[in-house]
Amino acid sequence: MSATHQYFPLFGLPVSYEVDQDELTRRYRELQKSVHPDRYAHAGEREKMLAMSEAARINDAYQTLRDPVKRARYLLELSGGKWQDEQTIADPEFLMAQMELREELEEATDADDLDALEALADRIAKQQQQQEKILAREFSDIDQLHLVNGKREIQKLMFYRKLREETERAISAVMDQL
Amino acid sequence: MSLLQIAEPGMSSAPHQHRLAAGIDLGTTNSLIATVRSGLAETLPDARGEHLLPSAVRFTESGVDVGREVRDSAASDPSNTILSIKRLMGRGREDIERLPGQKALTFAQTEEGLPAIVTAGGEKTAVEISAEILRVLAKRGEAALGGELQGVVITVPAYFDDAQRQATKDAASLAGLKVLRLLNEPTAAAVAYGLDKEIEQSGSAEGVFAVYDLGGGTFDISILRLSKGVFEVLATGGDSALGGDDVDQLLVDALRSEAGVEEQIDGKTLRTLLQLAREVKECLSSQEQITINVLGRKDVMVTRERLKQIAEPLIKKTLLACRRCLRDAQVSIEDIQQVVMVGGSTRMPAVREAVGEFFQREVLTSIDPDKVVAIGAAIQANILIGNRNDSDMLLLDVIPLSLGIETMGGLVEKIISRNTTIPVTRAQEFTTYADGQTAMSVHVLQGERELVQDCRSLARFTLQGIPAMVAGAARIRVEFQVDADGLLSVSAQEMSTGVQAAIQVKPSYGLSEERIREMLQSSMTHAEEDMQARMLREAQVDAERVIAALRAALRADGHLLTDNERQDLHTAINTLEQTIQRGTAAEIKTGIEQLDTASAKFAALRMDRSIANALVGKTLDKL
Repeated sequence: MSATHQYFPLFGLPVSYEVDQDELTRRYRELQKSVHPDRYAHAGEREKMLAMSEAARINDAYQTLRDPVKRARYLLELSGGKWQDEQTIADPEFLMAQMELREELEEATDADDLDALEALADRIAKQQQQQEKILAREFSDIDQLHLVNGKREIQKLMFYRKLREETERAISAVMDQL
Repeated sequence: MSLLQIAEPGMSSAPHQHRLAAGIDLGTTNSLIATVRSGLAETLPDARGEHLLPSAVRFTESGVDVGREVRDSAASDPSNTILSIKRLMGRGREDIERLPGQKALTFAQTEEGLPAIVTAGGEKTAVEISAEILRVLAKRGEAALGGELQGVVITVPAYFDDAQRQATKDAASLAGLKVLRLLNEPTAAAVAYGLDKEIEQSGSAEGVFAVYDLGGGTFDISILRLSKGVFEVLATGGDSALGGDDVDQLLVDALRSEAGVEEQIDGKTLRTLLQLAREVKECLSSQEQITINVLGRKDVMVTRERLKQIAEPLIKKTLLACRRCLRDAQVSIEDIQQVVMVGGSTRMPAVREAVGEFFQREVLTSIDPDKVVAIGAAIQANILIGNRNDSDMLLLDVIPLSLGIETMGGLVEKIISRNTTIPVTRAQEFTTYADGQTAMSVHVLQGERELVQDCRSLARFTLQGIPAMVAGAARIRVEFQVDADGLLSVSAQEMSTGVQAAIQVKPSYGLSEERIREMLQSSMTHAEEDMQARMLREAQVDAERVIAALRAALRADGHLLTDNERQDLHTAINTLEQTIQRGTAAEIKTGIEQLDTASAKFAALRMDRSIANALVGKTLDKL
């Protein structure tokens, strides 16, 4: 775990859910420029290996901090929470809305209706963005993070993502037939 | 008065010597080599002034021929002539139908289960056949540059999986080339157009670009994001069985019906007609209409508009792939700032118009679409070999297909998902299911589907030497590492005891290192001593390179070490220098490893320092 605690300091950023994405990306690129294996194309084997593992570590840290779900999960774990996949969600209203979206997806898929699928994908994307905002609010004060609530909001965002992925896959499948 | 350059003792007297490097576009239909000379990247012609080397190889009892003659006379010796071998790189027996003209070929199977083509010159694998193309290009490069190539960048399609990339790299080693980097073709095209510089000048932080690549038999579309010299492939798509050749075929059909050629035609006539179709197509790129005589039967007029109609279904298909790729990349058409055109078939005005219309902008065509990829590769090779220390360019690629392992019930569990920036390392823990189990096998696959049968098998790893424990007690951490070229390596360790498990890799569609070495040996035309001499020279060059790099590092960062440590390193360098003078290839190799070990701490210190500097540099910028 010790190495994973260092994601924020690695980019010289404070430990917080709010991350200045432009700044993160800028620093990420500076770091990659100094360690990327391409910079060591004619160095010794050991230096090449070292460069590769450093570049991989920086990539990992960057992916974690850049992505809302990964970042929230990382912060949850830093706060002593434990993340497990396959947890159930206890929010009937949310689940009902999800089921309705799912039904829509099924109908549009069965009808090979590309326009409807694309419209649905866009709608899910909007709701997903909305959920990202809710997640940001939940994690706004990391010292006061409510682990159960935090987990729930992460899960909800993951639900939207999964649904969106499935919609995109359905779109691909319909496009394949064209 | 001239200034004398005085070299520090032990320092190379020519630190700014230009190193010879080249970029190679190893294409399905044609291959090219390019290099940077006097600051200008250009493709290199053969003795007759031809830049494009048709990727056609013929094996005879007396040797091997590559290029235009082979392609043009393919029909006269179809069982020994191989076209489009790229389609078989890193592929298995079930893929041989992807090869054009495969009906005339006889296939065999290597020990590894790879398909090999039976020719008059023996059984040849895709790797060996590609190596022949690379040899011809390398020779061309060396003749033009007047010396041995010290490193090359070879381009591969962005969607190439691990096995295909590995096969490309193997072909290069077989041809005696040192690969600095495998570069994605669309990235190379973007580099050739200097799109990174364009963004900088426009003042915007980043830009999104599309690379539309329509070759003879393949179509690729890629969406790239560029920012401050950093190139990222966001998504790729396309169709590996769609290209300008299909237009030729359709045009032949049209010419036949207009000239009333309704009877069956033989292969020779078909080739004549195909050649005619190609000429018509090329003419219509510059003129509005052309009248040609079809087989002495009838004069037929073809307008640009007619060709457009013929090509339309095909162009539509490519645009559909573009639409899909935009979705994958999660960008909209308005986000696309430039569209780079690659591949000979993009010369057709109909293609340019349709693509421009789709992306709502003028497409980039100023660099020859056949040469643009090789030119980009040459620019990158020139940087990587160290001729341009001022370059700020960094090419970050992503892994094109997810990597996963087989779990219970024939399912695939994803370890690294597609579009993850490489290099990347992911670890996964496994445990044993039987008491006293000391070995286990891991099946690695690449692809997006959930079932093992729908993904491509990459390799099977057998872990041995797991300490015997009760079932479920061992914790085996398997680390998957994908390097900057997109190539996978695996290591494993039992966590509770720290025992490193030995790994045996059995690539599903690749050659073992041992086999490559054998092939290299048998491909040497002369006797054993030739091989020895070559290996010795390579070891010497390697050692000199390592010493030069370490010396430069010591000059820059020697202060990170104590006096004693620095002294030890200098001693180690001197030892290796003596070995270079007198040692055998094997001794020099051992010497390099020893120096590498001796400098491990220094390398780590330098890496930490450059990370720290990268951050400080940024923070200072902000002040």
